[in-house]
Amino acid sequence: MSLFEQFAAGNGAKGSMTEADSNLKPASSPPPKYSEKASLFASDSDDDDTMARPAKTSRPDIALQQRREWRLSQYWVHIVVLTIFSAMTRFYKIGFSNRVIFDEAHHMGFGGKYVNHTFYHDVHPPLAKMLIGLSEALTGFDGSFDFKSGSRFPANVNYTFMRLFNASFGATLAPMAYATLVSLGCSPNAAFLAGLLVCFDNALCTISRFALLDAMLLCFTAMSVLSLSGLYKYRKQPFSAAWFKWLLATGVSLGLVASAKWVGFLAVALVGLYTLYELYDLFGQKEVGIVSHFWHWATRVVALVAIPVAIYMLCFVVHFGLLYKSGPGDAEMDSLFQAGLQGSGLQNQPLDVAYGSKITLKSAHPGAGLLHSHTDAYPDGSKQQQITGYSHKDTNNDWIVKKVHGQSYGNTTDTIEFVKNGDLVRLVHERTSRNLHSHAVAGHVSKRDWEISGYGMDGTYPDINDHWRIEVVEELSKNNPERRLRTLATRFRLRHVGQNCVLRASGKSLPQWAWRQAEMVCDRRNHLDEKTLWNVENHVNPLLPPAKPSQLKSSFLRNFARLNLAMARSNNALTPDKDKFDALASSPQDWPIMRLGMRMCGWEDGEVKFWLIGNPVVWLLSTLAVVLGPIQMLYYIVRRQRGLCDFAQEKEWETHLYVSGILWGGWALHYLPFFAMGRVTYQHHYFPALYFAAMYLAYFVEWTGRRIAGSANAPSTKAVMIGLGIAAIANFLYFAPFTFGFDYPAKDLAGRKWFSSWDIYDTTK
Amino acid sequence: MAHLESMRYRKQPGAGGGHDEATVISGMSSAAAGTPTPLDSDDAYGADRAAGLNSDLGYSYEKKDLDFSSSNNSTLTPFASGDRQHQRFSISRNQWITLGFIMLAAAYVRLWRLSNPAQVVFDEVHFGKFAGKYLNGTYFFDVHPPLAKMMFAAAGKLAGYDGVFDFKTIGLDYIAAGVPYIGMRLMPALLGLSMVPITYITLAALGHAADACALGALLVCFENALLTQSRLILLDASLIFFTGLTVMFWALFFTESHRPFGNRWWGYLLLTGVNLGNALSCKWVGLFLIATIGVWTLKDLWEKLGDLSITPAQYFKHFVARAAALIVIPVIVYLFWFQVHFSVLHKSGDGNAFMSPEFQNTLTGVNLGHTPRDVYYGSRVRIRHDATNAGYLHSHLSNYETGSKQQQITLYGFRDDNNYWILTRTEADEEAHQNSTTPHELQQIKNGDIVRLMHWRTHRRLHSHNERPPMTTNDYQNEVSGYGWEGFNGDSNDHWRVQILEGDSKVPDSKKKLMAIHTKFRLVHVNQRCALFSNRKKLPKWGHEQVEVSCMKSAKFPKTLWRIESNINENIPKSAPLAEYRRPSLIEKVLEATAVMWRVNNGLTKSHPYESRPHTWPWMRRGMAFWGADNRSIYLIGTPIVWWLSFATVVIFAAVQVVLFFRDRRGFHDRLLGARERYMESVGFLSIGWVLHWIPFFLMGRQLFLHHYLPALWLAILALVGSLDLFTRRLSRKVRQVIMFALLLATVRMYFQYSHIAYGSPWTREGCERSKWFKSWDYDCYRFPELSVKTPVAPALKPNVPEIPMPTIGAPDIGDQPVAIMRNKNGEVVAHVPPPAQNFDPLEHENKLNEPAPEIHQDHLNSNSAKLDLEMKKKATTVEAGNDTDGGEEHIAAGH
Repeated sequence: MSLFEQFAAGNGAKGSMTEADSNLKPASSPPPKYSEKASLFASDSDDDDTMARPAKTSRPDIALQQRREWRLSQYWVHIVVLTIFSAMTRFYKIGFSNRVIFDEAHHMGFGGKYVNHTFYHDVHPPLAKMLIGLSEALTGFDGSFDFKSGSRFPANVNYTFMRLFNASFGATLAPMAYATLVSLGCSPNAAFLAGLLVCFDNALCTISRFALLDAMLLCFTAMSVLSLSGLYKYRKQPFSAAWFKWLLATGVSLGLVASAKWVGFLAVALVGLYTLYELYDLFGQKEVGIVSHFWHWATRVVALVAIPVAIYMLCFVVHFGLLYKSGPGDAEMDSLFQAGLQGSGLQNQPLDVAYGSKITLKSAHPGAGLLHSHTDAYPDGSKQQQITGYSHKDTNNDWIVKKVHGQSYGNTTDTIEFVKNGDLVRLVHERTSRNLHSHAVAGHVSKRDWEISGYGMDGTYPDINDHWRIEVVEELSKNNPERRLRTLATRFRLRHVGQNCVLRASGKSLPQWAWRQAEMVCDRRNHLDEKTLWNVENHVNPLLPPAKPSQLKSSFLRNFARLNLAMARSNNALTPDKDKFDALASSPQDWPIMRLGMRMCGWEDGEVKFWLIGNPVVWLLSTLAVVLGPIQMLYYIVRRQRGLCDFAQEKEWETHLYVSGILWGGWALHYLPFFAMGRVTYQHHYFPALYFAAMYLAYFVEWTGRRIAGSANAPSTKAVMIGLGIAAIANFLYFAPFTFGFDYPAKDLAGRKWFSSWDIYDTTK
Repeated sequence: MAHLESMRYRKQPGAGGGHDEATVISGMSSAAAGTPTPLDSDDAYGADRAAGLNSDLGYSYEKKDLDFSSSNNSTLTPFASGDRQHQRFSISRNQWITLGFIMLAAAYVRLWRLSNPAQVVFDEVHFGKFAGKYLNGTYFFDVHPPLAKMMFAAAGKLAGYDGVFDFKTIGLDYIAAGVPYIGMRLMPALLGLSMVPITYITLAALGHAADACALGALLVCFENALLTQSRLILLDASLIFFTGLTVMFWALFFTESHRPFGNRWWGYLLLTGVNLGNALSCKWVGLFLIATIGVWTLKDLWEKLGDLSITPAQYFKHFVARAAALIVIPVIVYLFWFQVHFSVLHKSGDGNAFMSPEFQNTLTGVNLGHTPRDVYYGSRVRIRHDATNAGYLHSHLSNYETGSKQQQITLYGFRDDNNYWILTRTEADEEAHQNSTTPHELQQIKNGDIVRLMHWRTHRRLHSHNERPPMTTNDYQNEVSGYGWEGFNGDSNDHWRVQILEGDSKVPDSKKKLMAIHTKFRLVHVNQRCALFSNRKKLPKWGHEQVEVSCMKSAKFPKTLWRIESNINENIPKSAPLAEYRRPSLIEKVLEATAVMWRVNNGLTKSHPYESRPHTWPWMRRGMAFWGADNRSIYLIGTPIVWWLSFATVVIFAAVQVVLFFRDRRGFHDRLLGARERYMESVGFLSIGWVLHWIPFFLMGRQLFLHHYLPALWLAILALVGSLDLFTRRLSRKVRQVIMFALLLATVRMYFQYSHIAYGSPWTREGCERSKWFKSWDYDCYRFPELSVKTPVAPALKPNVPEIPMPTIGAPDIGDQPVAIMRNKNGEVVAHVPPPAQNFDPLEHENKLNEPAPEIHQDHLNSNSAKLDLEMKKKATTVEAGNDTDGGEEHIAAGH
């Protein structure tokens, strides 16, 4: 029996499951039955001992069997129909535009990096991009095209297949929505309506038709909530085989969704909150003993924490494994990692730094770059030569390590002297012969600290303020008993001898007179943080042999942590200028009311154009549902507090709480956090929330119909559902040009501009 | 409480053991009547429940055991309803006598040596000065609402302060200046003193025994931080007073809950609302108080909802009464105090510049007057930036030191001749106009017209090109400069399109034609498609620290909007329609003032030597130096035992609630020695208040200080005494008394120990060193003489201790020098003065915006101007040679 059959079967015939759940249930479960009216709660039927059973429960098994088979076949028909619809909408005319559309420029480009194996940096985790890379590799893409935004695909790039590959993820959405609602106890009608709403939403369809990350994110999100619904279904039969399967499926999908985009962590939060509630519920059951509690906790920790973490990390293992060549993302990682990339220029350098070596110094603070100097002087303060941090590589970053004034060092292979921890050194800027210098003059931006300047002509004006002590903080290579200063592997501080302060990147930029490069100060308040840490990046010394590659290896965990921090930083750096109008960006309050659409490509009259807009039937009505739902809930809660009973069975209310919790809670968790995000937000950030909202709409219609008309199958309820479905399909077709692309002037679609804020065409032109 | 119990009950149908829902729900009402309900098989719980609903029964034993304070029953009256004996809350005669004695002691403690020091201390700099402004009636701007400051003004008025002394720096002498500062300090001191009876009555109303009330009053009396803060001209005493008053009336309100809508019920409710408004009008911290009362109101209303003896009509009445008293009244009170504020401060003053021109127009002494409404080509206009109150579009004879190095365009806050611009046609339009039939007729500027702006004094035209501005260097921002010279015909980079976005709905055509004051418009650069923009960024010294103006592509509207404030054209007939600024209503004025306060408040991010983050407050990591002179000093630090124990109380409350939450879930219904309901109703309320007065500070980015914790501290002290009362009731009377006395003695002992730095009275170095339990308590012990030195002369070691300027909050002119002085082991002052804070103060920044611009020597500039003209001409020639970035093509196209 497949997973789907299991849950489908579980709905109608719980009897098949009772062998598996010997844990909790005594053999008191009533004979399985299917009651149309109680279909929402059928999954609970077996432990429902307070409910008086209808007398007709002893129906012959044959009839039950027939009914079950009929239902199963109905499920399968629904699923197949939805899948066909999805495939049709997702695949139709998918290669219509032969240009790089929207963020395909980024994501196909990143996929290409996996083909080329060059290291890049991006704000998203690697899984979805690796899948795009896989689709490119499957087409035999040779990595020669750079996917520049708006450019045409060359003949040798099979972009249609790449898009098809991606769209197939998007096509799974509707069947999964159907299965989720069935699993949550909805009637097939409501579930089918949810499937239709998801299938015929223009926005979900449009975004799936291009090689973007969102289709995969949506697919994994849908998988997570489907597995969660399975978990919910079997919550009364813990440790049964089906329960384990769904638990495992939940863990795996959480791992996948989090590895596709960080938005996936919102799905993790949903499952986490659900699980915590379940455990709290369990805590109140006196009959559950401590050992049982332990197993409940242990299985969930393994399945819902350990497995997702393992998958997330595994994605990064593959990511690092595939990207072994130096590329545009090198600078985000630390020097030691870069040394492991082919072609980074950091290989074949001598390992131990000796006096007389020419080195560059890299700050551990991202953004500070390399210690730099140039011939410009400070405009005030000491008016000596500027010392800055500079991210680009040039010869003004080169420093020579020398001994303190008055001492000399050997300059042959035999007499060479290595720099060790605690040594006093002088750093001489190679191009200008200035010594790295500090003195009791206030800094230029950070006025609490001392200035760093370039002073003297090498040894011509000896000054104690040119002397720095090496303080090794961390050693990443092995076998270094003398604590020598090593290229890349040693992280150290430079302490100024005269002022007892440390060389530090202040994290601020100098003004225009220093070309806005990073400020360097001598910190006198002992902020011994990352900003004071340095390592040698480039090292040239003809007297020394190059290091063996094995000596410069960075550990996976270290790279993993570093890359994730860099991703978080880049993500937070995506802050919009709040005074600037951005045609692509939109804010969270615009989404549910469909205030804005988005042009996905250039808008020339003759080109194929796509306009990202939702299906108003789905978007606006689902917004209405998520607003009305809580109001309705409040109504019942207030009535309950007044002692008024609206529900014949307490279970009915409880089930409503659970299902609303998963669907409405999923919407809220995928939507509300965007208000708190400082980064720029786009319309497609709402899509996972919309998926939940669409399912909630279907559920809400059914539930309200049940409350008003008394049954999910009442003609009025059915009529509303059919009306909704037809309206959604009709509206989808009406907006289809936006989704499938149109190559005539946008003005021809002027009638579809329903809101004045929609930028289908420029009114000014 | 009964409802809460049954609520909890109902949520777990399993525990009911077979009772259906209907029984449980109807059981609620019977529970309210005090009938034991067969809800649980657990006998102990059932019994407790029957008794526990009337907590006086729970305490029955102690009435005979603990009646030492001759309290009558009413002190133990439960907080909530559901009581059988609806005895009215009152305080017995003996209690009043006790309170009287406590007040005598407190008056001595709180008012002793109020005259010391006779110098300006800490933020008296601000609040003394503001009091003077009220007496003078000149408008000023401050980040706090007005009530507390007006109270100081009233006190100053009564005491005879004339508003002349300006409280400029810490340490200025009051006596020499003849300032009646004692009268002004008496006001907060009396408010601080009244916290003692407020504490007593609040605790009594929350249902605590008389001895506990007395203990609470004494703890508050001897608490050093509350004491120090309430002896000076600072706002916090008023805030804490109104907070205390609100909480007291709220507690009293609940003592009347079994007589809803009675006179006292209404009285207490309305007084709660009024004082909420007062607290909010002292400082915005009052919002936390509103949250506290709001949370408790919701809880109460929720329980009332489940009380089926209340009909829906009654319930609605309950709801409306609370909404009116706790929402509408505070708003009215807040508006009322602002109305008083605005009507007292009716003269123009240094706060003008923060406000919009409409607002300024309501002040006497500001006469923005009226100006001809319609703007014609050839008009000389002054253009104001609309979104910021940073000033007028301005230019002067100095050049940018970056980019094109052409003449600067800035925003400047004062009205001077350099703000004048002449609106002219483009060269082509001018030609067409001259050739038209009516070359001399005035032509109004319309939406969409292309204009040029000529600086009246320097004849440069407003110009933009593909160069980055000096401060905002985004690639979508262009530099705006003054370009050209007298006689130069200009180029197409001088062309700006007038785009009108807002008009005055009362003035027809103001959205179509350019009109002074009514019209808000953008100036869009024709070639670059960018809009004239400003973002309050200051130019460096070479730009005279005026505000940068740039031209931004795809800018959002607000910061690109401009308005013409004055419009001069000799050809306009005298009878032409005029325009003037609207006069805003009170609500508009309050909203505007509130918005500015909010903005400036959030901008107070400058680091301060004595600022602290909220997590350091409850355990009192560090105090704040207020004042120091010779061998005395004032340092804000609490009585440690009170701070620590009160903090511990709240933490324990939270921990107990968490444990109870889970134990209830497992079916244990703990009674906490029969005090569970009272613990929730009294200590629970106070703890939630504490949380809401503390946690929100974590979200604030602005500088914070230890004294922000004081309202929370007061709530925590009450919680401490409340918990102590509830959990010592089962002990013997003697043990209970010993515990309370021990706490009191320890508090008084510590009060005396730290009183020297609270009152600024003499101390010894040994005593000081001994009291310094943590290194982070950084009051300066070397200030005090060693015991061996009998004479109060300063020790020989440091004969010339320099007068140390004291830091204050947000004071722009002082406060850069922290008072903390490092000393080495020998007590010598180490030459280590921490350098000034590096972030600029936005308040200072904003003040500076409005200072007169540095003197620009016109002669010097004029001599320079010939040179500049020459340079520009030279540049223009090179442009023609085609190697200039400055839009060379347009330049040529313009026919030059």
